[in-house]
Amino acid sequence: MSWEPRILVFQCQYCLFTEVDQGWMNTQLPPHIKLIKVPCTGRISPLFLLNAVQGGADGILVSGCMPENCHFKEGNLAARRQLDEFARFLSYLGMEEERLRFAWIDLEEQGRIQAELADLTEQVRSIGPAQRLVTRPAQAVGTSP
Amino acid sequence: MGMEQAAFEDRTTWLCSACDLCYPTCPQEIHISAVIGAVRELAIRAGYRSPIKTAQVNGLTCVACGLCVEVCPYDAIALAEASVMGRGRQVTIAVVDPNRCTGCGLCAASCRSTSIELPDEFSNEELVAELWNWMSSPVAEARE
Repeated sequence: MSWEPRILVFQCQYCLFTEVDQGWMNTQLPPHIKLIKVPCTGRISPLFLLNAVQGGADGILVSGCMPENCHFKEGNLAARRQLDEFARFLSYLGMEEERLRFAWIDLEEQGRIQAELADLTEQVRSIGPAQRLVTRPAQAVGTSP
Repeated sequence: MGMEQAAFEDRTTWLCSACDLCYPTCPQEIHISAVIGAVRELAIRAGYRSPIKTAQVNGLTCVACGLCVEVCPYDAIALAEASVMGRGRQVTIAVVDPNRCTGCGLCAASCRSTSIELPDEFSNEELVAELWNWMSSPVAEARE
């Protein structure tokens, strides 16, 4: 059986997806992709990315609004500064930088999110499972290791 | 006029986050967020409070570094002296103005001591738990 990479998508809840795309994200995501909605990309703490790679996520997509189209004035710009920096740190620690991707999506770009996800999945599949930064096997929250 | 109460109680008065996406498309160039901001000021003066779930500071761990004050796009956070149980009567910590906060979470993401948080579903705890729950679910385990 072919290996499916685990992909986490962080998406801002006001992300300017078209309704069709948002509906697809909400109901038709393939099982190897997990959507986590946050109020704004600015809400995404480096802590979340760290938890994701520690838990063994093979790929992470951060999807937000285009610069100047942020629902919270400048949340996406702050997110980009902060998460870009953290991405460089992760690659310094030995994580392949292809595993982390940012997509700043405009309202007109219908179908882009699907393309980004398919592309990221392919890219990650060719690199293989992420093991470099996994600190403990994934387990249910609240259970002891 | 008698319409103040309706305007002050309406959620949209508080929901506007001043993204100003309406501004460039308005044919009359009406600065809508400024109008709503003015209504909100009047509402605050009349004693109304925002119904939005706003950021909350943990006074026990806040070190008053001021990072959240810098990043807040709404100038809703300030350093101020407050009485914190277990720390003292006059401790300088970050204090959120709940009437200006729109709950974007930028402060929570930038806080280096996780002392400022959004409540409920967007708290660090909930989001990280959601992440770990999925990672340990059978679907995600099917990778081997």
